[in-house]
Amino acid sequence: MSPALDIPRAVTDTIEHVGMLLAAGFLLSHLLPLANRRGPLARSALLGVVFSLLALMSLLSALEPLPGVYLDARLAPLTLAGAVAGWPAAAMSFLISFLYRGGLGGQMIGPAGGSIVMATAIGLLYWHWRGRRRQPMRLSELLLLAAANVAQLAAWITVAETLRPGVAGVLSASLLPAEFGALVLLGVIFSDQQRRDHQRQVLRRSEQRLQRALSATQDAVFEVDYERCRQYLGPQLNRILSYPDHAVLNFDELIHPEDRQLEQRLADEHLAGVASHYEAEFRLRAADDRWVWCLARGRVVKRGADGRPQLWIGTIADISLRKRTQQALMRSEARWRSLVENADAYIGLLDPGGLILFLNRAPSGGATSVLGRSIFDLVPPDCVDPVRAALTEVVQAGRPQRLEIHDLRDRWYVCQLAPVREEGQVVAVVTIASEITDRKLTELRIRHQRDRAQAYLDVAAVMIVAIGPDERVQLANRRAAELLGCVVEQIVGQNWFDRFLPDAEREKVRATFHGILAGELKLVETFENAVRCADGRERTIEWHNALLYDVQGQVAGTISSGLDVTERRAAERALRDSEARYRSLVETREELILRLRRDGQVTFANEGYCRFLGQPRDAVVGQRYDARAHPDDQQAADDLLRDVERPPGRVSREHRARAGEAWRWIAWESSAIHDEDGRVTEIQLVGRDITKRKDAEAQARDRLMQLARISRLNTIGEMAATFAHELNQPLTAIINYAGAARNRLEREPAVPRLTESGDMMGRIITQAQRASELVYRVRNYVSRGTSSAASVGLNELVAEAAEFVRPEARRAGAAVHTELDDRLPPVVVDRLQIEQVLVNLMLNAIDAMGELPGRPHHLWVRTRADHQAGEAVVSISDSGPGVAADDLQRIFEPFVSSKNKGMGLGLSISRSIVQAAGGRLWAEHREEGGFFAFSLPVESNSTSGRAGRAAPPDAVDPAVAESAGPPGTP
Amino acid sequence: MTPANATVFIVDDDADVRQSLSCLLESVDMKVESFASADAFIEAFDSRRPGCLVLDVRMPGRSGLELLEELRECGQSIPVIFLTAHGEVASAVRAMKSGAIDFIEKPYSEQVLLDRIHQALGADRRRRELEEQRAQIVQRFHSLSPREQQVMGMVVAGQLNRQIAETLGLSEKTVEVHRAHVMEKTRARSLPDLVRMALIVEEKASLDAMRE
Repeated sequence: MSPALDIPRAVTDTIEHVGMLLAAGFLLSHLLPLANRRGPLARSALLGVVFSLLALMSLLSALEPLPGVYLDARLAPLTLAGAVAGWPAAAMSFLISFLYRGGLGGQMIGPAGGSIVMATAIGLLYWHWRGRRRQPMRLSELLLLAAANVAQLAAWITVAETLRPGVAGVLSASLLPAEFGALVLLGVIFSDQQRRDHQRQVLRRSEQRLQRALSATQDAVFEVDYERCRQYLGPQLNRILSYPDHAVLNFDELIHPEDRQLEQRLADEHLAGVASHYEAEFRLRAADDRWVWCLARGRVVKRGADGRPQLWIGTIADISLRKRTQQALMRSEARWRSLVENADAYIGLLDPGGLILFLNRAPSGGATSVLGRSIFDLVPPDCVDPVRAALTEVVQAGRPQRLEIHDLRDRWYVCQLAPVREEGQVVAVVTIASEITDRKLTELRIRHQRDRAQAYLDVAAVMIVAIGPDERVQLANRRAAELLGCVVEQIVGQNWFDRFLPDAEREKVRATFHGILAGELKLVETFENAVRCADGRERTIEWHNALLYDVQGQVAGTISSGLDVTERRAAERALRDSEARYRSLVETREELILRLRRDGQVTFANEGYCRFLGQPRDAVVGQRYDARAHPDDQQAADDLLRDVERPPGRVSREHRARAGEAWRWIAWESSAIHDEDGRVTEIQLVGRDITKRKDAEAQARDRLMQLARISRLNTIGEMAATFAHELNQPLTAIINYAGAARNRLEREPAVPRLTESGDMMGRIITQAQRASELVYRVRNYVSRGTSSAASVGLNELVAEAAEFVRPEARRAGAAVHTELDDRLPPVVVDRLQIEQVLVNLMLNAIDAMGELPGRPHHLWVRTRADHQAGEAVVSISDSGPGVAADDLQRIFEPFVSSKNKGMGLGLSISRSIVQAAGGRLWAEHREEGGFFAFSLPVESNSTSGRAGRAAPPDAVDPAVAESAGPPGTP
Repeated sequence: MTPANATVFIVDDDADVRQSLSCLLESVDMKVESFASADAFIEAFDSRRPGCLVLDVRMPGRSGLELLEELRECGQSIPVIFLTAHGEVASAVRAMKSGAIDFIEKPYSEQVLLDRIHQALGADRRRRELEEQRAQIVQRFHSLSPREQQVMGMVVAGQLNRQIAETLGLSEKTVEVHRAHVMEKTRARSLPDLVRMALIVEEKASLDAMRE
């Protein structure tokens, strides 16, 4: 191999190697986007791959050329296709490579140069493509690229080692730094590219922002480039100054001569670095020759190393409007100042703490300067507090205040305080003080007079109110305030009618008032109407009115003195009501009221009495009242007339009087009516018809007597029965013996005297029988006479009996309780008899409880219906000692008693009565006290006609019933 | 007229009444035994002894009525005369219902009492005779052979010999022999007599069954 060109072998090798390396690297780098498989990117990558492959192959063939075979030539069509596809640079590079090899025949240059050119071309293309998309290479791609290069380097070393053994080590030693150098270079290129891209974008955005900002403010931009000696004024200035857009303006020609010097100085200060900013106000001439106030702001943005300004930029803004306002303000201020300083009043400014910040003129005859002193030092001690209060109010609440103060020389000022706000905060207080000494003095004089008048009014016991034609109260005294329940200040100035008159009377009084004012109505001397007090109550006022006249003699209102007559009217009303009530009482009530002369003649009789008698009043009055009394009650009637004349002058009696056809009971109370000398002039009788009560009393008494009689009869009956039985035994024995004796005598008929004895025996028998009959007759008479059975409610009987024994129970310290079954059916019994049983049992219980004194006792009477047995059961239990279990039967036998007094017949009688009514009576032994119960068949079950003594045969004889054993536990 | 061996049993708690009554009855030659209480009577009572019972209703302990009811429950049919107090109609009625044959109100005429006692003793005697008669009939009936009893039952039921023979599978002749034996053994004089006896036996049997 002879080099066509005299190039050192090492150089060609290096070039060859680098070219291959690059080709392989780009091949791999193109595979990366290919993997993304996205449209145009993928297409371009594919092309990159193809050309990279071609480059590789051409390099490979250059390393180991096959004689006569040009791989490249066969690839020409592909190269053409690449050119057609828009890759002319790549194609060109390949072509060059081809030409180098074929045309020039250079064995070393050909492949190496071709590769280099091709690789460079591809690289250029790649960078171009990358740059066009502003897509910086990612770090991952870079690393992959590096890895690919290392791998490729390794491959290359291996190939080189195979082809030219021994050089590999040298190659790798010489190539590695180059390899890395290339990579570093690539990295630097990438990162720099990226940075520049970014900077460019930032710059562009900033520029755009600025543009937008400027266009929005309409401020003009100026730029002075000292390096290029160029001055630029933005087109906005043309608009500000009304010049056409295209006109080129010169600043120095435009500026107002008066402002030039100042502007120049400000600019110089800044350019020299003395002032950090440039800011100047000046007038510029507009197109129409007017002067436009402008504000220029700017800064040197670039200075040279020696500090000299290189670039000065800034803006010019139109401030003519602000300038005008400012001037107006200044003129206004001047006017105000002149006003303030020439004002008659003191006008000052205080800080919130009361320090005087400004005062338009010195206080008359006072200290020369008050600025910086506290307002409190200037006012007399008695004004300090009001001023402080007002100041505080202004500062804290922000409300203007008005107060009257005086100075140390008794000059009066009306002082107005108003807040000065900055940003919502009160920072100072404006005070304006005008002297009012004259007015004040006058006022004080008037007030003094008025106070004196008011004092006169106030001591008056009547309320005094003056009302003007506008209906407003002009004057009111203290009494009025007291009456109305408020202070005088709350009355004066108020509309009298709206405020102080009750709704019901308002319009009427108002009409009267206006009528008086207009002269249409005569002045009403006294007038009474109600006023409404603050607490809503109404009071009746009696008014005396007078008219007020002004200096012209016109009616200027009314003045009225009012007397509170509420209580008086109320008392009058109460009296009237009371009288009416009494009258109606006397006339309409049931009470009988009479007035009599001392001799008993009726002088007055009320409606009730006439009604009671059923006679007209005429027939009653003039008659003697006692003529109507029952003959038996004359004494009582006399007492009412006679005894009443003696102390205590009051007599109560009851007597009967004829009312129509009937006698009725009246309870009278007579009282004597005395004249001034204490003599009895008349007698008043007040009576009540108590006939009903009397009847009820009589009924109760009858009942009591009946009960007592029954009790008596029962006792006698029971005694008779017992006696009858007991007497019967000896009588029977007598009869038997007599019979026996006669029988034996009759056996001896031969003895006549004995026969006579036999007859006598017969007579004994007859007499004994007669005695027995007699006893039974008595008993039957006693027990049969009183029975009358009827359907009664047992509960009612129990309640009555309980009432009957209640006083007795109370004496024994026992409470009586009843528990009555509401659904108890009626029973058919002799009411009195059963009541007797109940009373007997209850009194027994009370007596028994009396044996255990000193503790509370209870007596329970309970009724219940035993529907199954068709019975009503009454039980009487007590808290007494109770009945011993052994005595449960014995106590029912006659003449057995646990009591000291008593015959021991009560239980026996009770059992007889209950059994006669078809029921049972039994006692039970209870731990807690006595327990007695009796049952009675209920009416529904007694329809078989059972009544009274016609009781079921198996229940009549107590002994029989007894022998049947105690009834089962109820 | 009073059977010699008949006894009047008196139960009364009142000693005077008891003794006077004994005196009275003994004065007409009656045999008397008296007891102070029902319990004492029950203890000494022998149903085979003929007589009647005079009971006072009102007694402590077991009352007369109770005693009567107890006796009746035990199948004792001794006639009972009650002595009741005047006007105690109800207990008298109850006593009669329970099987007393009579009651006498105190005070009574002694003659009336004696008459009633005689009646009661007569009734007792008749009752005992009847009992005896019945016992004999029953005994006679029991002496019949089973076949004869069978035949008798059918005869009493009104069947003819021929029918009986057919039912029992015997000859008419044999039936006639059985029938003759029945008439002979029961000492029935006629067919109605036999029917009466059969009724008595049946009644007795049902009574016994009831008592068991």
